[in-house]
Parts: sequence; structure tokens; C-alpha cells
Amino acid sequence: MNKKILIIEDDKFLREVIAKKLTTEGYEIIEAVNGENGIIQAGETKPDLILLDLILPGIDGFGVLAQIKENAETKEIPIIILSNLSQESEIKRALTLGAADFLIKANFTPSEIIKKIKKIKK
Amino acid sequence: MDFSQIRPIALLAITFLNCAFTFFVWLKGKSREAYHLGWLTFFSALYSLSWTAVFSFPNKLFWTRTTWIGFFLVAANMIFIYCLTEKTEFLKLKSYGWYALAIIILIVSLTTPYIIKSVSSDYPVITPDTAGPLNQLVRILTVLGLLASVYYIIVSFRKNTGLKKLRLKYIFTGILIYIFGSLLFVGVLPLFSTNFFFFLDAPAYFSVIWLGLATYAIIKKELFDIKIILTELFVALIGLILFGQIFLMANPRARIIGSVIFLLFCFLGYLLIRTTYREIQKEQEAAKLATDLSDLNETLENKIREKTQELRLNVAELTKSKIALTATLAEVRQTRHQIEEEHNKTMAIIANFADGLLVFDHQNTLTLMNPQAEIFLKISAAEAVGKKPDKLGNLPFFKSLFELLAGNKTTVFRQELAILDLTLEISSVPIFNAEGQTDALIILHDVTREKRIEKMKTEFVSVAAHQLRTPLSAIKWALSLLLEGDFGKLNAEQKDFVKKSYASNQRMIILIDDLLNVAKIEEGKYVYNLRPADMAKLVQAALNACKELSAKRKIKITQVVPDGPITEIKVDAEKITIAMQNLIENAIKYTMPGGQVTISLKYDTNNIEFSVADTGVGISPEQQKRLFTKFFRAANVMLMETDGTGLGLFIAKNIIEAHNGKIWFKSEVNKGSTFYFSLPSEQKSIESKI
Repeated sequence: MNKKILIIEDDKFLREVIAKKLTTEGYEIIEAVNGENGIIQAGETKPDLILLDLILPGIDGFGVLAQIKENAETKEIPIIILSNLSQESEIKRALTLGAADFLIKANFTPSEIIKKIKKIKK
Repeated sequence: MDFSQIRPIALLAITFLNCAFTFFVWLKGKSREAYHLGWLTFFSALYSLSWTAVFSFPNKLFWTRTTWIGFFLVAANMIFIYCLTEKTEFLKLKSYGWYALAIIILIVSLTTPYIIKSVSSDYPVITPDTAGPLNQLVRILTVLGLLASVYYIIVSFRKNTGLKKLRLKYIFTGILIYIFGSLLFVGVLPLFSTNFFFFLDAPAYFSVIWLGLATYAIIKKELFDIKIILTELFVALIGLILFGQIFLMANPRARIIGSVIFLLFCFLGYLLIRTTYREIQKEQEAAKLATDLSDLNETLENKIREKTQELRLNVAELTKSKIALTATLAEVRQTRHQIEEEHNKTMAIIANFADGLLVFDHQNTLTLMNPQAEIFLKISAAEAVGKKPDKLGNLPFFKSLFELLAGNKTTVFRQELAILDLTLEISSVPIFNAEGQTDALIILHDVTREKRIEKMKTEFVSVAAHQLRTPLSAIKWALSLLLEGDFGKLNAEQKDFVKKSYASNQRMIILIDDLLNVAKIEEGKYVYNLRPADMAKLVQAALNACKELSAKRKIKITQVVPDGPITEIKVDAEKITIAMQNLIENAIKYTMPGGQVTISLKYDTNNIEFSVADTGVGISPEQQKRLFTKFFRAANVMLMETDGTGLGLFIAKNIIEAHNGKIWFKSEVNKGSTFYFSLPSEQKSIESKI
């Protein structure tokens, strides 16, 4: 069975790129364009991993993170934050809320992200 | 008893008396007057001796002629008087003159009948018939001589006082007695009757009185008043006469009565003398008292004069002092006025100062709080002034202030303190007062606006950076996919081309990262996570990060290990690693291939020291000054390596200094550079402004 990965990212291009790469690697991709949608999708599809952006329209990434982690059904799902924010405070906050990892998009190529995913899933 | 028998005896007695006077005067007398008086008494003795001879020896004519030795008396008297009255000019001349005259008269008398022609056999011996033609002349000369001496005495008597005057009185009296007595018996009485020629030798007797008085006057140091002496003399004289009278009485009964009278008279005489004596003494005492009193009076007056003078001086001084004081007072008033003006100015400045001012005295009591401080700390001065920290600490914002001051009231410099929506920059300055004690002046400077602006800037940079990252990430990802062949295999040329684009994009990303870091550093939010860390491990991490680069550039890296274990110190591990990494990367980048980079880590009691030494291109002295500034790249490396943001050292410096450490370097062009930093091993107060 293919691993399911939920991508919550509002930028279309980025979403497509990462989705393409993940599909090439053999992952099943679920996409959400905003936070609310992401939360619903998470509950419904129960992915193996979530890639979460922080800057989202409507409810922001932290809110999504918090909600998913609060939901008993979804709280076990590892969440990797993908963001361009690099404030220490943001990073700390995300990790405190339960994020598995925090990657800065500009510093990681999709391949590197996939490596990270694999590491976590192990 | 026969007078002719008594006479020679009496005259002899007088001779002896005169000799006695001469003896005394020449023995006891020390002065010139005494000397000359001695001659006078001597000649007087000779005179009476010659008269004795007249009545004793047969050759009456000869002996009578010798009696003119008496003129020597006149001469000696004159000289004596000269000495006494201090008319001693030409004394020798005068002496010779008088004595010459005396000698002439004596010779004439002895050898010629001009003075005494002859003598009669009975007494009185010399009569107008027997006198020679010159007799009268020499007699007149004698009288003149005596009168002249009297004149001198009178003149001198007027000038002198005291003892001298008394002496003169005595002598004067003596001479007068002699003159009057002699004149009476020799000059006056014979005119009446020839019977009175009887007493032609009377002068001899009177001379005794005269010379006695003179002797007494000259010899004695202290003279009694002449009254006493005269009284004594007269009493003695009368006594003598009464005594003599006893023998004159033929009648035995008359003799007895005479004796009784004599005895009574003696008694009376004694009483008289004693009374006179006492009276004189009293007078003298009174006189002495009077003198003493007048002396005392004089002394008193002198003293009073002195005192008055002193008082006058004192008053003058006091007046001077008063004037000086008044002047001083005026000055003081003026100075006080100036001080008040200055004080008012100062208070006006303090009251209107844009910064808040607090003054704590050396006992930590708040003594001043200006209006601006009241606004900042949201409390009125009346409530806070005069209180000590223990009470002030209860007031809302003082507590945080004291925490910040934390005991070093005089060494705080531009520390920030947040009160509600205000950010204040606190500085403290010591004030030394006159007694050398330190007050503390705390300055509260409102930096809220500056902080807000800074915050806005940082926020802007942050936001901008993050915004920029999004498209950069998109490009990065797109290019990486291309490179990884997700869109089909690329030929070598294509691959190469895409790689270059990727590298370019990567540089951009790094630049943005650095900008963000700089913004964070300036914000003060850079050094964050202080945890105990093993420096050796961090060095390893940094080296690992640079492994690829060193291999690529063919630089050999060696490590100098520390002697023993290094204590863990509290650092932000990630940031220190970045700093080390920056330094190592620089060393690698700026050394020619084949060069060497040496890393060492040292430890002593106070510091941990890290150094990176390279054999690279070095830094020229002019460029060294700007090495740690933002975006600076040295001219010589820009040619070598176009890559480089110029932020590496700036960031490293900030990291090290945020840890209270020091960073420095040594460099020589074309030889190499060595960069050092040290961190205090006791991290007591690392700045961590969050």
C-alpha cells in the first residue's frame, strides 16, 4: 500500500512541484489549499504524514497544527512543517505544538524533503 | 682765773679742732670739694696756731705778723667755693692767683712794717697806732674775698636742689656766721670803745663754727636739716657759756646756783633738741609721703594713659573689623544671590528635562524625582521622594527598576526597561558630593519610539525576507527537479546550465538568510538558546560542515587538541558553531590550493580560546579596520572569490560578543591570517535580550 501524504500548501506552483516529486517517489498525494480544508482532509483520509505550510489563508498553520493534534483521530499523524518563516520563536512554537520537524523551504530541495520524510516514517 | 691764760689755751684748742677737721675731711672726703676744704681747715689751724704763739711767746711783733697767714684762709676758701659751686673754669689759674696774693701779703707782713708797724704789749695788741698803712687795705681785701665767696654760694644755691642745696645751705650759714661774728667783734664793736679790742681773735672762734658746719656738710652723706644742727650748736654754746660762768663766779653759792642752772639748761637743751629732731623727722616723713604720693599719682596717670591708648587702639581695630565684616557680608549676600539664581536655573532645567531624573543619596534614599520621571514611573514625586528602596520596591514600576539596577547603581549604562507601553533606557551616573560620598543619578531616557522604529524595520526585513524566500524556494525546487531528471534526462550542456542557475539561486537564498540573521542580530534576538555545551564537539561540528569545501579547494586542515578536558560552558551551540564555521570557511576560501588551515582550542582558568590560522592571502592594514563591518569584503579576496556576502565576520563578531567574548585577528599580506575568539568560562551574565 502506498503511503499517503497530505500536503497543505496554498501556493499552487510549490504544491505541484512537491506533489510531482512525491508521486515520482511512489507516494499517494492528497492536496489541501487552505487550513480548514486541510483539517477536514486529515480527518477523512488519515494520511501517513502531513506536510504543512504555516502561511495559509484563513486559519494559519499553527491553528491547523493545533487542531489536528487535538483531534484524537489525527493526533498520531506526524506533521512536518514546511515554511519560509525562520524565526526561532515560530520554530519553537511549532515543535511545542507537536510538529515532528520544521523545514525551511528555501533550504531544502524536494529530494531532501523526501529524505526527511523517510527518516520520520522509519 | 686770768683771760690771758685762758686765751692761749682756747686758741690751742681751736687749733686742735681745726686739725681734727682737716684730718676728717682728708680721710673721709672723696670729692674735690673735700680736698680743698681740707686745705681751708689746715690754714685755719695754722692761723689759730699763730695766734696761740702771739699770746704764748715773747716776740709778739713777729708772731703777730705771722697771723696774716690768715689770708691763705681767704684764698683756700675761694678755691673751695669755686669747686663747690662748680665754677671750675681756669681753676688752676685762679688758685695760683689767690695763693700768690696770700704769699705776697704774708711776705709783706713779715718783712715790712707796712701792715703791722708794731705791737703793744697788752692785749689787744693791734691798735690804730700799731697798724701799718696797708693794714686797712689788706683787711678790706679779706672782707671782699669772703663776700665774693658768699656771692658765688648764693648764685649756686638758687640753681641746685635737694642734697646739694642742703650742703650749700650749711656752708652758706657757716660763712655768714663767721662773717657777721667777725665783723661784729673785729669791725663794729671796736668802733665804740677800745675795750672791745679785746675780742680781736673772735674770728678764730667763729671760724670753728663755720668750718665745723662745712666739714659736716661735705663729709656727711645724709644731712640733717640745718635747723637741727644750729639748734644743737646754740644749745652747746649756751651750755658752754653757762659752764664757763660757773668758774667765773667767785662766790661758792653763786657757783652752785650756776651749776644747777647749767644742769637744768642741759636737760632743757636735750628736750629741745629731741623735739626739734622729732619735728624735723615728721616733716621729712611727710615730705617723703608727699613725694611717694605724687610718684604714685604719676604712675597711676601713666597707667591710665596707657590703658586709654590701648582702648583707643582696640576700638580702632574693632571698627576696622566691622567694616571688613560688612564688606564680607555684602559679598556673601551677593554670592548667595548668585547661588540662588544658579539653583533656580538648575531646578528649571531638571524640571523641564526631557528625560526622567532620579537621584539616590549614598544611603539609597530617593532625594529627587523630576516631572518627567513622575510621568514615566506613574507616580508623584511627593509619594516617592524621601523613601528607601525597601518602601519604593512596593510601588509598581520601581520594582523592575531596582531589579535592573540590582545593586550597581552607579555602573548601569543604557539598559532597557519596559514599563507598560514604554521602553526606557536606564543609565546611572555617580555624583560625588563634598564629603566624597557617592550619590547616584539615574537617567530614564524614553526610547519607545526608537524601539518601535527598530521593530518596524526588523519586522519589515523579516517579512520581506520571508516573502522573497517563497519565489526563491519555488525556483530552487523547480531547478532541482529538473536536475534530478524528473522532467526527462538532461544532456551535459543542459545540466551544466541548470546547475549554474541553481547555484545563482542558491546564492540569493543565502543572502536572504544572512539579511535575516543581520536583522535578528540587530534586533537582539539572535543569541537565544544558552545551554551547557562541550566546545570540542562544536568545533567538530563546524569542521564537518566545512569538510566538503576544504576537500574541494584542496586545503589541509589540522587540529591542535587541548591538553585536558574542557569544562562545559553555557553557549548557544548553534550560533557558536555558525561563528566557527564562518571563520573556518573564510580560512579555506582565502587560502590558495595546497595551503594549510590550523584549528586550535585552548583553555585556561578564565577563558576558552579558539583560533583558526591559515596560510592565505592575508589582509592589508588599511582593510583591517573595516573587517568586521556589515557587507565588507576585502579588495584582494573579491578578486579571488566572487562568492561571499560580506556578512560572515559581522555575524561571527555579533555572536561572540553576545556571549561576552572577544574576537580578534592577526594578519600579514601574502603570509596568512589567524583569527581568535575567546569566551569567558564563567558565563555569569550573558546578554540575552529576548
